Amino acid sequence: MATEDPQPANIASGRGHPPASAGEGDQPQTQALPVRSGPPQSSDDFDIVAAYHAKLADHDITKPVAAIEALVALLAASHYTTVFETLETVKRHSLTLRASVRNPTPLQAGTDLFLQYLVSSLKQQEAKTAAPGGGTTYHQSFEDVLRHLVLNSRLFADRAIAARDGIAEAGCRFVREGKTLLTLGASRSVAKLLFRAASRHRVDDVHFKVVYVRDERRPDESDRFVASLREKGIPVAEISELSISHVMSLRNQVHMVFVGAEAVTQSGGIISRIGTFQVAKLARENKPRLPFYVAAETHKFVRKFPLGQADLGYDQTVLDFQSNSPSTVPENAVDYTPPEYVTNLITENGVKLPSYVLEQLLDIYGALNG
Amino acid sequence: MVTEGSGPAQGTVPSGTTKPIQQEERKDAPPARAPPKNDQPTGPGNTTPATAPAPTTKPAPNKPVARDNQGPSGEKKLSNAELKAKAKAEKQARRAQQKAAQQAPPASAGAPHAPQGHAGNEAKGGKHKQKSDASQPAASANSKAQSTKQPIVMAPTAKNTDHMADVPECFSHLSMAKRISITQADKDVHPAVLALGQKMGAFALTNSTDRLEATLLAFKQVIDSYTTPQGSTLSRHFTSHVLNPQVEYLSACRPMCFSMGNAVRWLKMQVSKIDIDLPEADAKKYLTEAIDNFLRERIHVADVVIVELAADLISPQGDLVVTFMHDPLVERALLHARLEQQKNFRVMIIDDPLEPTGRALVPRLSEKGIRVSYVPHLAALGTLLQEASLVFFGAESMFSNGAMYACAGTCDVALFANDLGVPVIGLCSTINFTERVAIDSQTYNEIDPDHHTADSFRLLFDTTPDKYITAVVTELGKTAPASVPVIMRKLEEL
Repeated sequence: MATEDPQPANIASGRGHPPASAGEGDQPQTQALPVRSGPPQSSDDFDIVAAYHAKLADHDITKPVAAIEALVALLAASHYTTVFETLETVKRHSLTLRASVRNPTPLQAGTDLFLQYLVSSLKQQEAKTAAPGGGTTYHQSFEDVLRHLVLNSRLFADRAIAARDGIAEAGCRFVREGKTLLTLGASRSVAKLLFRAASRHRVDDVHFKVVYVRDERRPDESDRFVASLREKGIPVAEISELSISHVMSLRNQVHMVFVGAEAVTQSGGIISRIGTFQVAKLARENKPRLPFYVAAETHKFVRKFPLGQADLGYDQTVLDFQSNSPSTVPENAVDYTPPEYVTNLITENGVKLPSYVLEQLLDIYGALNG
Repeated sequence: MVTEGSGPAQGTVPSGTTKPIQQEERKDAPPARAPPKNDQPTGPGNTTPATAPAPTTKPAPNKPVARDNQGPSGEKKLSNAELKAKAKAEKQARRAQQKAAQQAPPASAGAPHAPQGHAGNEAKGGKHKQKSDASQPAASANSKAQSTKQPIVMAPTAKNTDHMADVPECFSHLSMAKRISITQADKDVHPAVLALGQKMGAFALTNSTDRLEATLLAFKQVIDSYTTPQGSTLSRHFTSHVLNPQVEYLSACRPMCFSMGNAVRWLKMQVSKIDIDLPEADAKKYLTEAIDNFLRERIHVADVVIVELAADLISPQGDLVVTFMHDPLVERALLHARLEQQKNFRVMIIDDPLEPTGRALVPRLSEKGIRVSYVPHLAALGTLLQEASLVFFGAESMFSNGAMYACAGTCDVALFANDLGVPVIGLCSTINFTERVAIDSQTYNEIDPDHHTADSFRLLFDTTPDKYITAVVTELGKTAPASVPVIMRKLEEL
């Protein structure tokens, strides 16, 4: 690994604590983490799943980051003396956490990243202390790493939020005057991008429009998202899922599509809320073809290569055949949009082609066999 | 092969049937004979005729010993008439051999061993005979042989190019494996490499990974038997004077595959990195160890990882996995999924009618409890593939634009599968990647020497564009074909 891993290195270098952001108030427990105080706790007592859900309650925190924060909390809550023990515990809890949710892919992005960060920073420390020669500095350095990590646990979340700002910065130039874009879901990245684009105009005079595809099963969420856009003065038209194709085909009415993602696979495709693939297909088949932009932070990149819809890595029963009772529709179903439908990925590192994901993953992990 | 049986060329008759023995002989014999050969220019000329009987009679290894006992003195005891008779017999034998050699190419694998009786005897002895058979084998014959050697060697190669002349102009840039008689090989070619070249030319070794491995093992022997000449160092001398002739010979026998090219480049790099002051023994040890590591990391371990990754793609129940022709990696992946992962799936093997390598795979899979269906041709692909859930290909190479270089016919299957929405998976270790770019199947290809007439010829490979490939499984993980250059860049960094 010739270059520094951009992601973990950024997190580690940490520009201190940024000013309190919106989500800070909801998370008092992160500030009050006991740093190796109190009696040593067995790691088995730690409820990683509960910790994860507590973190996730914060609106600003994505699933991978929540998983990372839960693992940091785990390290803070228990006392380890060896590297091996630490890594094993982190691995074990990662698996527990992943097993506890239906779709483990976004969490895998976070847990893998954290583990890799832990391994590489421990290695770095080792190299640093080995050079001066002699002494038992090794043990201390291990402690240092853990303490640093726990003390700066909030950094992961702050970094993630900063990443979203980066996305907004990189992506807002796509939203040019007089254009209309289509979006769906409630991606925080997309919202921030649109806010950023709107901030270049006066509130009563925003020169781009948004077509929002309402999710009939989540009316509250749709209402909230639309309201937040309108608040910034962005003209929004709400349409139903059934009219996407019609609206797209109206000449010169929709110019591009923006979506968020739960995870970005190493092929450059995305795993996202169900319906995204459908929109991607329609955008591609449309005449003229509509560019399909995905706003996603690099921490959502995951070492996973789905071959198709049937290979998401977990079982979601979308098809439920019943002849005399209503079929059950899965909650939070996702689909996989292959990279050929993705025009560009908008990340905090800039606007990238789908193959960038693999490059980045190889840089971080060295290999792709997770 | 049958016709020549009556002739005095006894050495060639059993070659087809006793192939392994012949190979063993060949391995031992050439080094033994090498010294006399090198002595020839300086030593007394009459020793050369004595070596001639060796190739024509069966017990080749014994002969040189006998000759050594006789020495130059034994030679003189022969009368002129006797010499004449002997020369005549030898000429007959040689004719029969040449005949056999000419007939050999259309025949299959056993054929190239026919001329192997010559092995160590090698160009000079045989050639010399041709010239001087009528006259006495005077001492001057030696220098004569030197001067006449060139044109005689050229003759068979000219014939080979004539073969290529049948190929239409627009395909004339493509190369074809050819049977190079061992007698025509450069004298610097190591016996192990000679044997390997014959195997490759005869398509006894076809898979690119097998060829790569055999090449590196042969090069290890070359390194082992190498002695740095006075006033030179290994790192300066080895590549240009020893390695290059081997490589030239191998690529003359059959064009090198991309992995061999990569490995040769790597080996040259290793040689050039050796410190000039390093003792020869250490340098040789370093090189052989480097080759061992290379084989382990880039081939053996890589294959294990690829096999596992590919087997993981098969779902636990009810898949129909389609594969085209026989590829060792695909076979191992299928068996791994069946035996180690206890998966229950069916396999459909589609085969090339001209070269049905997949047929032998059927019993090997079915005896392990996999239900196999076998399609001996490419007809009705669209219907056959409708049920498929996965298609596996073993790739000969991956181009850096994501195109896959594989057995001819692969593209047809991939195209149909892609059209039907069936994931198309290529299996390829990164050593087979090449930085070249191919957008058609004509730029890089090879003509099949076995199916090659004046009217028609067959290409061995085709190029599948990246858009028909879902994923490439490498030892670094699964990737989209478009990411091949990313992986190659990464490999350079490592």
